[in-house]
Amino acid sequence: MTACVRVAAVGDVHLDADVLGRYRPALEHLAGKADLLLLAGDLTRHGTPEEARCVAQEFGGLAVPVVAILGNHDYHGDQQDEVAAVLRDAGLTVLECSGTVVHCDDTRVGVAGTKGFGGGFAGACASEFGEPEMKAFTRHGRELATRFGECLAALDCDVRISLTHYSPVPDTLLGEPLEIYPFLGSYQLAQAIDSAPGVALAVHGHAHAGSERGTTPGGVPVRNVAHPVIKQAYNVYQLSVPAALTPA
Amino acid sequence: MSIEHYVEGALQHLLAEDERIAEQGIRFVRTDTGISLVGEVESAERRDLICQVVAEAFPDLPVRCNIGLTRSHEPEEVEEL
Repeated sequence: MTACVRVAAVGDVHLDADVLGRYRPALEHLAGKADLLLLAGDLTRHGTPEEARCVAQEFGGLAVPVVAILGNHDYHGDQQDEVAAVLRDAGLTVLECSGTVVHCDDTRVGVAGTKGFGGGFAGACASEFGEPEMKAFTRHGRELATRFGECLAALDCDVRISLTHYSPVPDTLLGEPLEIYPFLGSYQLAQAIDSAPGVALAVHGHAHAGSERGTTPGGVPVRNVAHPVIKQAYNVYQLSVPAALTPA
Repeated sequence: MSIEHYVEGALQHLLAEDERIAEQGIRFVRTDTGISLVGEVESAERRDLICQVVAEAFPDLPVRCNIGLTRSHEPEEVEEL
């Protein structure tokens, strides 16, 4: 029998006091449905510690490990470090150009995460040229993608997962205005994913009006789990553990 | 009434930059008489506030609220990859 891992994921939940409790009924049954939960950023509305405490209350104390990244909303209040600290205090693992390995029975599930950034996609992307602001915009995305790719490749695991807020591919932006694609993702994230060995799944959020399914040029399945896209508390993806690791 | 080009720009800034709203996922489409706000938010309170703030900012613009609440039920299916 082929071993598998079940991964639950949702992004863009934008928690605040007015939303507390909305997800909890569905989360209480998570242990029977998934081995871990990924949160793909934009966990708050304005990026305040108060809102982060709502996230901690809603997604803390679950029966499965929770791995999260922050999104652009979580940076809005310039308190992203405090936001991340609140989440960590609640037992969540918060990644930013870093990785973690979750043990699901005998399988080591590696997750590398970053907020990522915009910049656009091949043939229509930003370049480090011209004004300082334009260079800074482009450089930020490039640097995050490079550091993220190193973390993803370095994971010592059996199943490798990419977790970003911004999209690595244009496929999952279908439905968004074409004009804002450079603000929704970057091909450099896909390049990082395709450069790592055997990535089984790339999860992202951010594109509320996008679509759910896509693929990197290298063939890695990409899933946009922004809450308005999946229209339920979370999605569950079943990943096969590579055959070499499965007992005969 | 036709909508001025610059009103659309101001409306988009309002939706994202007004701290009471802070929504980047709400779109608007032109109707015969005004605009229709389209998208999904996490609570009825947020939906009502968006429409209220937009109506206050553009008192002469007929605004139709077609914003829904994102469902948060438990999934019943698993996608095998």
